[in-house]
Amino acid sequence: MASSSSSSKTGLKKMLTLKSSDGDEFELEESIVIQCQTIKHMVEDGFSLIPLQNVDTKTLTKIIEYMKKHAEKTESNKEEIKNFNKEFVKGSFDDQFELVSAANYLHINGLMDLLCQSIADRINNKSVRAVREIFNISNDYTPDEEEKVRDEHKWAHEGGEFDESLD
Amino acid sequence: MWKTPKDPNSHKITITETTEGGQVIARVDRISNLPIDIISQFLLRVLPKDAARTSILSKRWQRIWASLPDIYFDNDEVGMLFFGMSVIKRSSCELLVKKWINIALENKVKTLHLAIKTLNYEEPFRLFSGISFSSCSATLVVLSIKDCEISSDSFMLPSLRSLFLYNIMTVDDFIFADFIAGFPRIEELIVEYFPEELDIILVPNPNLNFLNVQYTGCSGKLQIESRKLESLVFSYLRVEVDNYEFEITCTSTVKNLTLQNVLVLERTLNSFINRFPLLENLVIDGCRRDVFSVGGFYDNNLPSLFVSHKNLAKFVLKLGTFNSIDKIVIHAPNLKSFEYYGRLTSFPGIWASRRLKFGKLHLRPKVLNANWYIWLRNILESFAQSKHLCLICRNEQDDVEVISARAKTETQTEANIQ
Repeated sequence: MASSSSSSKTGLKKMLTLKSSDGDEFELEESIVIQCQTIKHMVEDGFSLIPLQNVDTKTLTKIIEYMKKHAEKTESNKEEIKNFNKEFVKGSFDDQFELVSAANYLHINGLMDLLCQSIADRINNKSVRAVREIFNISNDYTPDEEEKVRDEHKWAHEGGEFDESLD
Repeated sequence: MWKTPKDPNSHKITITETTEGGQVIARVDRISNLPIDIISQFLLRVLPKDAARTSILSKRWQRIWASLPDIYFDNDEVGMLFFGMSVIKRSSCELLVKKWINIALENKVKTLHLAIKTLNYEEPFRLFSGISFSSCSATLVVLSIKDCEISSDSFMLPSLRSLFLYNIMTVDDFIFADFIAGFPRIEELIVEYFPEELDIILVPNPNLNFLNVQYTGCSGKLQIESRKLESLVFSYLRVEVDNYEFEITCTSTVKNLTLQNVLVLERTLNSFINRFPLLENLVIDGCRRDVFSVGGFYDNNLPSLFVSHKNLAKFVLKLGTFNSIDKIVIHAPNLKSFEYYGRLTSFPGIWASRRLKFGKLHLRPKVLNANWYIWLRNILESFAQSKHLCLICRNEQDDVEVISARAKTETQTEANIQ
């Protein structure tokens, strides 16, 4: 494999190695990895082994799964990618915040957008109680303080029914 | 290597325990522990109302939504967007915007740009009530205000150096002098699109160095009392530039004067320019004379100019397509750079400007008369000492052709004489 990493001239695809914070290494084609702006800049600077000290193996595996699929994107498989995205978000529910931090730090715009939208969808039109419940946010206001904040943003709490469901 | 910087606002992760199916499960509040710029990414994707509601989730969330870079509100809600913020007049929304500005002021901002539009033109955003500028009176250095309504006593900002007013509305009893007195140390003042009814622009501030007045409907008097004034720029101004309407206490400090599309009365352009004896840079661009000729058309031809400034180093004169000047007498021994756009104006005296190093002449062959050769020969003689001479001839056919063939017909000749 070592010989393949250096020569695009011979027709072989240029390979890059990503190293997770747990020390695991993943070898990937350059064309897949350059979706990630941070790595793209490193590749341009001549790096071929890229240590990712903020991304653990579990998260990196997920991100590679995403990048591989999206590297296949063409005009004709839009529907397939859409379904993949849907499943990807569903399947990574438990790790969503690790993923979003990693996507932000690696500058993978498509993934960042996908994850943020999925989280935003669970804030949109939800009741305060539901949002606290969904994201395990504990309320550290005293009742008086909470009342004051509610009063300041009265317009945002008025009107319409808010969604109490937890999905 | 690229560790994300530790968020100064990050707090301890909260772990709560809940019982689920008989088992105790530790639940971690991960979202609150994300850096604020990531949380902002979520809030930018929810409706403004929902974003605002997150302020009540916990203390951590209280201010996050208000710090979003762009906040769009749909038509029924507060419309607010910094730099082009629109607000529908509604007490609660307006309060919110004001509160937000107050947060900035309490935190001692040095530079503040406010552009707040209401969707109802009749009721502009009132900058003078509910906002306390006093808390940053010692720190605010640059203030720019756009689209808001101000009153005479809105501000008292002794440390302010630069003020930019754009499309400002004023209360009925507005007095510019009282307003500007709130900025005693101001050095730079830019006024664009001031309301029609403003009669007198009185600037009594002693340190004013740069004044730029543009597109202002002021038809009255402009009075400047600074003793440090160096630069004046007037654009698209309908001010009669004669001695009565322009009162400038100290004209001998002015080094830079730009007049762009200013309407001038007969003979006043001359006397106006010559009131600044120590000018170093003079730009006259497309000024018109405010005189109707018989056919109801403007007579755009400017009277002869007499430019006599011993320090003048740079002179730019751009005449529009329809106006011309017959003669410009130039007496400027230190003139280094001369740029001219226009017809065959004669420039008696320019040959005496021995230091002329840079010349740029834009000519339109179409509008030149038969004397062009003699004219050009004479003017080129004046540039005998120049190091850089640039002659630009643009052949203007009808409009359509100009657009399509500009690159071909535009010829540029640069000659290095000497």
